[in-house]
Amino acid sequence: MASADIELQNVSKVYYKDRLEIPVIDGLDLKIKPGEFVAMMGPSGSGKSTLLHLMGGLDQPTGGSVRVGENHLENMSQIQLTKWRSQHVGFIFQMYHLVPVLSAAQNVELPLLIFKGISSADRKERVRTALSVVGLADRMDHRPNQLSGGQEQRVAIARAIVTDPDVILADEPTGDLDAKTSQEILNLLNLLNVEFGKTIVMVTHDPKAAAHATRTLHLEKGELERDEMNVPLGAGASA
Amino acid sequence: MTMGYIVLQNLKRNPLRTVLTLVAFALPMGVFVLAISLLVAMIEIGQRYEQQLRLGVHHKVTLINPLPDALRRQIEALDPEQQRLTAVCGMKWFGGKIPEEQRPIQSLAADADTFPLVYPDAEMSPADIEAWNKDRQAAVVGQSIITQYQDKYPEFREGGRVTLKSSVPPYLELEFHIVKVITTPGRTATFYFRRDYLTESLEAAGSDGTNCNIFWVKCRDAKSLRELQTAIDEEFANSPNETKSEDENAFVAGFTQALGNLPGLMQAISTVVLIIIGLVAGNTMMMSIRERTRELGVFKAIGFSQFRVFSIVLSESVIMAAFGALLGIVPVFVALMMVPLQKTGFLPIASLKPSPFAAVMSFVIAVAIGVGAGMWPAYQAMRLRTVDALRRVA
Repeated sequence: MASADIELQNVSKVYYKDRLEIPVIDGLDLKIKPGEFVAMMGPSGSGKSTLLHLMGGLDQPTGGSVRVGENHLENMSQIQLTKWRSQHVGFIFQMYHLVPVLSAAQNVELPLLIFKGISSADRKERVRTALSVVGLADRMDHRPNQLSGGQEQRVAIARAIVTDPDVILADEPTGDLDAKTSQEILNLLNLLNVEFGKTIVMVTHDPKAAAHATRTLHLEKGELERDEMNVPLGAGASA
Repeated sequence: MTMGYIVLQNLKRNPLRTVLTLVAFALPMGVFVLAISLLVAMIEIGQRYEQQLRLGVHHKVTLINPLPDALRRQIEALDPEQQRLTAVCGMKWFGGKIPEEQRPIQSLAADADTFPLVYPDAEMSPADIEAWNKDRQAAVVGQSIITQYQDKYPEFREGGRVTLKSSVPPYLELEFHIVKVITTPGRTATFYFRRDYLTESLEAAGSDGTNCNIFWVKCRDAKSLRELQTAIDEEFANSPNETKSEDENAFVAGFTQALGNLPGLMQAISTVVLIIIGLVAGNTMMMSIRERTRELGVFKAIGFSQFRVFSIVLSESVIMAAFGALLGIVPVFVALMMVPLQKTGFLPIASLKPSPFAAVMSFVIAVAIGVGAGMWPAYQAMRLRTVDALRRVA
């Protein structure tokens, strides 16, 4: 059960569009402890998703440093970042992004395909375990179009945890779900955080979702406006 | 699960599009195999003609202009010791057809005494030659003519008696006795019979039969052929019967080119078709990639390398091209083996065998098109920024 801390120092990110400079994050400092469940909130354009992408090595900062565990992401090449992501980060997206022509089990197996030295039997065992954690062991052979939205997101969560990553990064994981299903997904994230000790960073617009985290960061125009500790609502919840 | 499995599953996303693209590959590649097989067969026949060292001597103006019989003796007199030529055979166009049929048969009257010498590729045995010499109505007939007509006219067989009616005045109707069926490739589309029989018949009908359309000179070697070609044309220069001599391959090629530059035309059409397939396949792959941009972004996010993403997209294109090509090539190849196309009578050669070279070449070309068509979409997928891909609205 791996877990890692995250530290951002004086991080800035600037996008360029039609020669126009668009600053998104400006000199941000942040520390996230191993095993923390952090929610990031803020209006559109406040830099939440950008920050998440920087923590996940999907993008690199214009300035400053991003450290996840022992790794300084700003110094890593694209090839190194790709390899690092495959081993240390699990991503959950709002629209699940499952491959429609693959079964639930095959979708979960995808990140393991690039791992060397794992036998087929071992891969299958890991997939079974991951789907059991999210409560979908009986839906292994179902295609995404045979699953509900909530079930699809559970498969996406299983895909994110199958490699036993240090950090789980979730970009509005309940944004496309109804209230009841959202609750189930958030309980599941709480389970991963509490029972498996995963460091989780979740972007959300929903205060109820953010209340499931142990800490909430409020961003405004690329700066950290507020940093609040929460009463962990979902502690001890099960999927 | 393997990467190959993912690639194959991706091709099932839009079955109709995949099937249409496969057909877009299959049809032209099938025709391509047919065309290349035809070209290969024609080239092989041309090579056989060259090996036969025959020099065709005809009137300089056109083949239709007759040359007098006496020219044969004059040609033979150019090499009395027969150090460069072995025999000369005069031939006259008969233009015969089965009286009940419209399609003419390529029928030629040949000098009886020298035909077996000038045409050893007719593979006449001593018994065949004896039958040819003994019977004035003897005919040596190509296999494809037999194949084309034997179902309807059972007398079209070795030993059978057939009647052909000439399509040129005085429209003689002559009976022949088939003494030999020629199976040698390149010789199977012609009906040969004795010229003395034609001459007598023409004279009996009040026409002049003492002339030829062409004299075929059998040479000893390539050097002799070139020397005789020059010597013969110089001999008859500035005479009423000026000649043009050419080797058999050039003579046949002249006929083919009379229909237009067939190989060149086929090459041009093939090139255009191949470019179109490439564009169709490339467009299909681009559409496929555009629809899956966010999914490719996820692949990259979870750790698929740029090279791996490139390989997935390129593999899809190549597999589609390869399957499509096989769908076109295999049926045509099998059909060519099973169906005797010479029965249709429309091919410029007597028989068309499937060419393994053509099949392999077509497959390689299809795969190359698949690689070419997939390269740009694969490169685009490889260069895709993960963040941009994830944000993109499908």
